[in-house]
Amino acid sequence: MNTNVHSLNNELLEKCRNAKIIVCCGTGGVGKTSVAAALAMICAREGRKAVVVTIDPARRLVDAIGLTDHVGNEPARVHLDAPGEMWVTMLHVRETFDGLIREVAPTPQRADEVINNSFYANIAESISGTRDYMAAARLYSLHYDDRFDVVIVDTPPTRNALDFLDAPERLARFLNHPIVRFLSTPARGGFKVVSLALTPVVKIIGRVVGSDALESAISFLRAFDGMQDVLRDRALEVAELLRADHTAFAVVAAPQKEALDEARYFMSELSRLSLPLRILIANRMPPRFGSITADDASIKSRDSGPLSDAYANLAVLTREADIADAVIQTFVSPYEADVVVSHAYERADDIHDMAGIAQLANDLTGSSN
Amino acid sequence: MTVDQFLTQSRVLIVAGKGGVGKSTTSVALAQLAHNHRVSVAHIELDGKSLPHGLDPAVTQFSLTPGDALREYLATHGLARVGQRLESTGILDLVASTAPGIDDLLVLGKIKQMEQTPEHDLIVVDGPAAGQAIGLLRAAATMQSTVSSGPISQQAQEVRNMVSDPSRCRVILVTTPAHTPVVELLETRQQLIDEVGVALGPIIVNGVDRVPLGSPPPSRTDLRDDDDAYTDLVTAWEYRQQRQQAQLEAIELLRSKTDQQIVLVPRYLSDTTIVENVVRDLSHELEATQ
Repeated sequence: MNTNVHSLNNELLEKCRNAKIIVCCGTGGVGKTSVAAALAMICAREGRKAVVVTIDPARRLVDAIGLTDHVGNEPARVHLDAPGEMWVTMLHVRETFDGLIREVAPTPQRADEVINNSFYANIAESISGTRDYMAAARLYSLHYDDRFDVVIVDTPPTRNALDFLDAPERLARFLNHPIVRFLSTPARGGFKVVSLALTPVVKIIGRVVGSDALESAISFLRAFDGMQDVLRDRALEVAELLRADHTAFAVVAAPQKEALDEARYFMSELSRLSLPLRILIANRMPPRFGSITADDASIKSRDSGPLSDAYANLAVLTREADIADAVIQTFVSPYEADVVVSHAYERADDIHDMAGIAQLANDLTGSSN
Repeated sequence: MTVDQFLTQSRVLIVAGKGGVGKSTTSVALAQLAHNHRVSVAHIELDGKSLPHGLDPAVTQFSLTPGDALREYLATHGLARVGQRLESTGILDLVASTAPGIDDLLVLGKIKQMEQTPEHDLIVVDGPAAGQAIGLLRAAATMQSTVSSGPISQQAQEVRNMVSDPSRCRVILVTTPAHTPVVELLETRQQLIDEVGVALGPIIVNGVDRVPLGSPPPSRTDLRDDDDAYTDLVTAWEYRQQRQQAQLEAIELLRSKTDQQIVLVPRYLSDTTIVENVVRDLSHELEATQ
């Protein structure tokens, strides 16, 4: 695919040299996980110590990097011939949550009390919101980890990614809610769970969710008492981190209508949340072969004898590239002035090893293959 | 299986698959296919996103979000005014946090309610991304483990009854013919069977390139004048061949690990007539394959 080489993308390289956090967003199926890994590789090539964290529950990154074992919550180093370093890690929600509780609990006993509560076990594993809080917490701890100087975050499919961005503030709002504060401070007035359950608001909640769930929730919040201030402050710090100058949001798109609709929605949400979009990546672009037009290839396919089929194929592939280029050009043009734009090409096969990631990194930076 | 058999084997079809595999297109095409076969059908979308064109306006179509479902639940339980107050003070979020999974459960509860009324013979649900589909379908069981009495517990039981009954509910998994999406589909499939106990319908594979490349590959001896084009012809030919080969391998992997019927839908470039094309392909493939 030597015809696809374009000039060196200095703007992208510059971002990869300076950013401290890069958040990759976009709908599923656009190769976001591979792009996140490729960006980490570019950072490492630029001499930086990069860690890429995937919060997608599927083990795609693990597959893509060809590391079948050993990748857990603890970052693992990928062997790379580069001046910098590349590390990968996955988000384990329960492990991260437990770690966070132990970090903020006043005593180890209190930490155990929370961790062993049945309601805690429930929220730690089953609500989707927990994963978002934990992703934010993980981003925070990796950012302050001395081993790394840039954190690249892979996010789950679009709408969830928004929850992730919103999570710190939602958590802060939730913990600040008068009802939550009221429920979680047992000392105040010496309320017992039973009498508390008789207050009007709590009664209504109890009618909806059932009284036993409510009691378990209340005892969880009480064991939790005192920790919420630390967590709330932490949540607000993460929110600030996401808006910092050295944070770059990268939207990854592919040239299909569904993917582009989601990318547009995502970009409008980023701007609504005042989060800085800095990189736009058009991934999975059908490659082009030579400079022949689809029409010319089509004409040649009619009278080229033994080469007719080959020209017909060239016509099909060139048409695919034409359609994709047109669609992506319309999508990108309003942003071109303010945002770094980068392209990468669709492979005949899935990216499933480091060589594939390296090729993707070459595409993105415009280096020759 | 005939198309009519397919359309009447379950009352609810939940279409699930990871992003970018054409899940929405497939769900809309299934609803349109049912409409063409004079099945009274409703199409429900769970994400609030825009849908591909091509669904007959006569088909009932709406978006259902967790917020909608919770409001409706409170209203039908005599708590409409309270619900408004809860919402305006932000306590509704608190309710959802107190009982994790309640929003998912209420969404399924609404679908179950529609399933039990005679207005529609078939309800096609454009589900959430595959990973979350498990959370959604598991919500009833999760709720029952936290809430053992009251209206929510009863709701959870009714939803579980629907989800585990193949004559009432099935999941249609959608994928593209590539290794990673297929591996993920197989994981989701296993979880749906083991952890949710829901029946599966045919698996739909979108974007299959089966157009014969022609043979043999381009040869230099066939070239007449323009030498430049030769390399391009060969690279393009090899690329397409590799692409088809990779697709074939992914489909083979899928076949070797499942006993579901597998329906292959071709790759379409244009967005405008895609639903129409997919309806035709689905119809043809459902009849042809076993």
